[in-house]
Amino acid sequence: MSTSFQNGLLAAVPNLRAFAMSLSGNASRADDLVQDTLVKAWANRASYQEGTNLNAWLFTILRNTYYSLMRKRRREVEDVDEAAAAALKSPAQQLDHLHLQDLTEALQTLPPTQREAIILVAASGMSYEEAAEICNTAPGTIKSRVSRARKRLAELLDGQHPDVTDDGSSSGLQALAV
Amino acid sequence: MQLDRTTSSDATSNEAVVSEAVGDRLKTLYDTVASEPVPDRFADLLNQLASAETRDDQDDRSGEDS
Repeated sequence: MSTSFQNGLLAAVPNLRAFAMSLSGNASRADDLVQDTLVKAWANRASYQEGTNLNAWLFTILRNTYYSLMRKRRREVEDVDEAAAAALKSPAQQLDHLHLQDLTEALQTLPPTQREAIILVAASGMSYEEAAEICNTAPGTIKSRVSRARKRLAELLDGQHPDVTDDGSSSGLQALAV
Repeated sequence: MQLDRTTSSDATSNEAVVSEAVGDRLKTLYDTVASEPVPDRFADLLNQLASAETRDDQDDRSGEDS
């Protein structure tokens, strides 16, 4: 059991890193998150039911680890965090187009619940049901969070508000699709 | 392509296109990280965890024996 569990954890690392990177927007923080996740997963391996989705189980641990780290950081560096939060609300125009780095930054401006929802569903390929289980909420909630996140990201990455397109001037938005 | 579709509203059609583009780029970001080689630290960590457990087991057993 423990060797196959160990192999399962190792096989999950690429997905865990991708999830952690998308979630935290920072490579070294992402790898620390993955490391904490593996340690916790190992310590709690008795609670994993063999045959169930190991990735989903690990994603749940990673997500909980991420949120408790965020809470801890907020307590420790309240002022610094406020400054960072203010910086994140900088104008969308500052985000250049079409680069992954920009997408990482744009993701960081989303509310965390929207961020995790869109990463799980649109990037990692989880179903609404799986994402709902990981985020401890209802599939319908995930669906609406994903939809709001898509809309917000589209605005940010396009550098304009959707209202602008009401008159049909949609070239900017269409450029995103190429 | 979705833009060719005649819809009641251009905005609706645009939204679908943009939404798809956002999804594609998210997937690219995710897959880029997921396809990177796994740093050695993770395999090392798991080996450490596994061997620590083996040692614990042996300790437990010797505890029972005595």
